[in-house]
Amino acid sequence: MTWLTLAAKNVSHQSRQYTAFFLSSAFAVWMFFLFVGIQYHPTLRAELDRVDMMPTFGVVASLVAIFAVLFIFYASSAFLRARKRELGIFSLVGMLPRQIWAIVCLENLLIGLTAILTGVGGGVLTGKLFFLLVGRVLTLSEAVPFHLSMTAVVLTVLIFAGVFLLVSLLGGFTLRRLSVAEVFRSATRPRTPPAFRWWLAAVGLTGLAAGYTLLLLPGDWTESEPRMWPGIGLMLIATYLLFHQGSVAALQALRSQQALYYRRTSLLAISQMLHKVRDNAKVLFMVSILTTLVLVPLTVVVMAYTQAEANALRYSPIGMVVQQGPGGQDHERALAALQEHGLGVERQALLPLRSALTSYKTAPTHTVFYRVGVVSVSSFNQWTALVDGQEPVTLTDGRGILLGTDATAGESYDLDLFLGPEAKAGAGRPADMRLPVLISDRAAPQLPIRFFSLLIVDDAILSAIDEGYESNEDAEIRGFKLTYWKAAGPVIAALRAEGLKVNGTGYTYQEMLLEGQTGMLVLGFVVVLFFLATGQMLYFKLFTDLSAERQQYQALFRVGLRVREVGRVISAQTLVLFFAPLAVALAHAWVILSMLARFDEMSIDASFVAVTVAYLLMFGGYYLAARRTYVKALLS
Amino acid sequence: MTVLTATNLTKVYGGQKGAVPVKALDGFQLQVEEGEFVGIMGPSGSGKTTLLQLVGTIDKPTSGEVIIRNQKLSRLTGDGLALFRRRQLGFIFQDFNLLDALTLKENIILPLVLEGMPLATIEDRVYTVATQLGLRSELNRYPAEVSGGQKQRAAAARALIHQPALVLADEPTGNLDSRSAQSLMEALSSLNETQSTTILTVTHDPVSASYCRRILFIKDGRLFNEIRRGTDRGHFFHQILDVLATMGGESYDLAYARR
Ligand SMILES: Nc1ncnc2c1ncn2[C@@H]1O[C@H](COP(=O)(O)OP(=O)(O)OP(=O)(O)O)[C@@H](O)[C@H]1O
Ligand SMILES: [Mg+2]
Repeated sequence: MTWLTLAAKNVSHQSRQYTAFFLSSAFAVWMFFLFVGIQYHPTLRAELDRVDMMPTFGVVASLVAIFAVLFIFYASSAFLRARKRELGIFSLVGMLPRQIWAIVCLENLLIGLTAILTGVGGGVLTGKLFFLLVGRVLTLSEAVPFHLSMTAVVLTVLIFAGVFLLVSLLGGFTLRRLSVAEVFRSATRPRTPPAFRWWLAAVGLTGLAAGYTLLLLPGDWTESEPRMWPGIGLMLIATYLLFHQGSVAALQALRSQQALYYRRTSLLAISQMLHKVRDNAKVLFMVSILTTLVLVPLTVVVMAYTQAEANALRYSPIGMVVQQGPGGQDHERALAALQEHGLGVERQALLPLRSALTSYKTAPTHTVFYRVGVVSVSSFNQWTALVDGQEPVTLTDGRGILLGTDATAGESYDLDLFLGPEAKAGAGRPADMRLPVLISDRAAPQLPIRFFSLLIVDDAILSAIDEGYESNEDAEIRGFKLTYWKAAGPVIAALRAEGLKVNGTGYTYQEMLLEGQTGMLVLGFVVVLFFLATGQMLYFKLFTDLSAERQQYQALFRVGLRVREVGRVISAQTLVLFFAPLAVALAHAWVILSMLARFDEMSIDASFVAVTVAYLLMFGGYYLAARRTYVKALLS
Repeated sequence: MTVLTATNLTKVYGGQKGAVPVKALDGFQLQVEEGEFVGIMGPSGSGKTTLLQLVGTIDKPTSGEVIIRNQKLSRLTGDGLALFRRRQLGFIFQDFNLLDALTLKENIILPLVLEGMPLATIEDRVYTVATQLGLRSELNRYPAEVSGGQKQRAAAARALIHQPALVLADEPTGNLDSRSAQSLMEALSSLNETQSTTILTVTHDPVSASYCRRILFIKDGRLFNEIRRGTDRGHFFHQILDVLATMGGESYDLAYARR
């Protein structure tokens, strides 16, 4: 028998904690490997580049990596803490520091290596499925072939081997200093419970109020952005302070409620929680932040997904729009394609755009020119009729209406128009026409990109332009109201692939869904990862306390505590551990989402409620499972 | 022969990070001869555990020196410290500190295994010490399967098996009922008599204390009194109670009740 065999016996005794550590590490490796795998997959890479999702996947892969590293650090240190006593005893009977270090390093490395192998192996096995799934989400027509990238394997192995090595070395290092004294002290000196400090609690509350205010203050993006980060920073600090001071205060208040405190089980629950308040606050804080980090993007994606239809109708209200040069035939091709698919047209409109330049003085000596599309009020109103419920426009006082500028709606001023071929435009040239215009914030039709905004004028003025000037920048857009816009999405996509400038509600909708799905996929993984991590953290928390608590409860059983009562104590403790951070996270997420919603004029409520309910259910399941295993482990 | 000499031991806790410094030991002097069985008593917070920590190489004194078997502890670092602890010291605590994963026997032989002793010697030693402590039939059980008294005797066996120069015990009977406490103290005192094992034990319990040969009373980190046992343990017990009474302090209700 050697000291190593004895150490090995210990390992097998604590297999539950080792398994948890191992599984979560393997999971992190697996996730990372798959995401890196996508980036080194030839087909997927090309496709992701095309739809411009490559950076997103890159960000997610690095998030996963950062997170995996943090998680492994946390897990291994929680794990070490759980074993302080045991390693302290080794040290007490004279195990050399380097032997203890060796044990810790060896264990970490073994777990790490196995986790890397399992994670990469699992990645290779499930990679085919995963790539197919990504292909589906990206709506690739052919099945995505499996591709094992050696670069991905090497990258994953190297990164995680490095992480585990580092964790091992650091772990051994902290233990070297801690172990013996720890055993000795815990044997004799109970820790003093932390005291409640008014000023800390006040700082926490003020910080939270200030943070929330900064985020909720009305204002557009440019005003809000500089307030956002300080707001979030304040929120973070305040959350920690409040968890710490709040739990001390709440528990002390409960303690002073003598009637409650001396009901046997609550006495136990309270005094125990008070005792562990410092550790608890840290875990509660981390869990609540992680949960916020999941809730916010999840709600955004759910919202994007469920509101895709409404948004498509808002951003692109006309069933099909074709842009072309004057007298172009693209719309015939588009109509033929619709017909092939049996899609009917209810109504159509032509919007001929006359090109004109207009000047804008940015400084007394500096003028910029921009192009507007000029249309007559009669053709614009035909266009308007394509969308149900849109009011026609009327011109008053001979003023034109300018759409799609960022000037303030309701203002009016005189607009100089430069007409005819391009070459003549420029500083110093007198305007061909000066026209009073009114700025409107009504949505403009999507124009060919060379047009900056749309100018609606009297029919008479338009004919004057028609007669006097010509420009090769003129264009026309044709709009079609469809009987069934959704089905036109794929047709429009096909036409676009032919090079036609076609757009439409169905196509926008399709794109939004794709965005939503890709978001779901990417987020799905992040959510699963964070969610599991949250669970792991709570799990570690519970089980690092287990051995100490088991002794305590066994002593209490001797004084006549019943199993049912223990169950109640543990329920109460676990309940707080799980749901206090969730409540805080929900509040945080709601504030952040309200801020985001302000910029997009969307309503988060329904999606937020849905996400909340889903999360409560998942957390509830987690809670029940954790409580069960914990009680079982405690009583065994 | 002198096993332990402590001169001018002072230990101040805290004081660096703005905390109020606590003088746990204040110029404490102590000399223990080979084969002595010394008890340490004193009110809670008087510095007993601190003294044991300093003697046990767990913590370093603020000033003063501890010498065990001619070794100045301040000269030891790292491996040297661990080796010294492994060979010269044995520890017993109030809450046993056995490893749950190992049987009592494996727990007991840990120091020898670390020392890399041949198996035959180990078997031999474990047999002897288990017999002395009445643990023979429990050796292959796990800590969870035996009584508190048996656990504590196993812890004692682990502290004794490598025949250390000095055994340090911090309230070894603190978690035991009075019968187990007595049997542990009897075992320790017989080992002390037959093997000349040197033992330094902290205790709150006058009955347990009455097994010692000499008792030091500490108050506020200084020596308050010292008494030696004659032949009669009953008489010694009453002497202890007398000193405790003059010392004051609130921590003896339990000890009285247990009697
Ligand atoms: N690690 C530490 N940090 C700060 N103060 C400490 C530390 N350890 C002990 N003390 C303080 O030093 C004093 C002596 O403590 P010690 O543990 O030696 O007392 P004790 O006599 O063993 O008490 P008890 O009988 O309650 O075990 C006490 O005031 C204690 O609060
Ligand atoms: Mg003590």
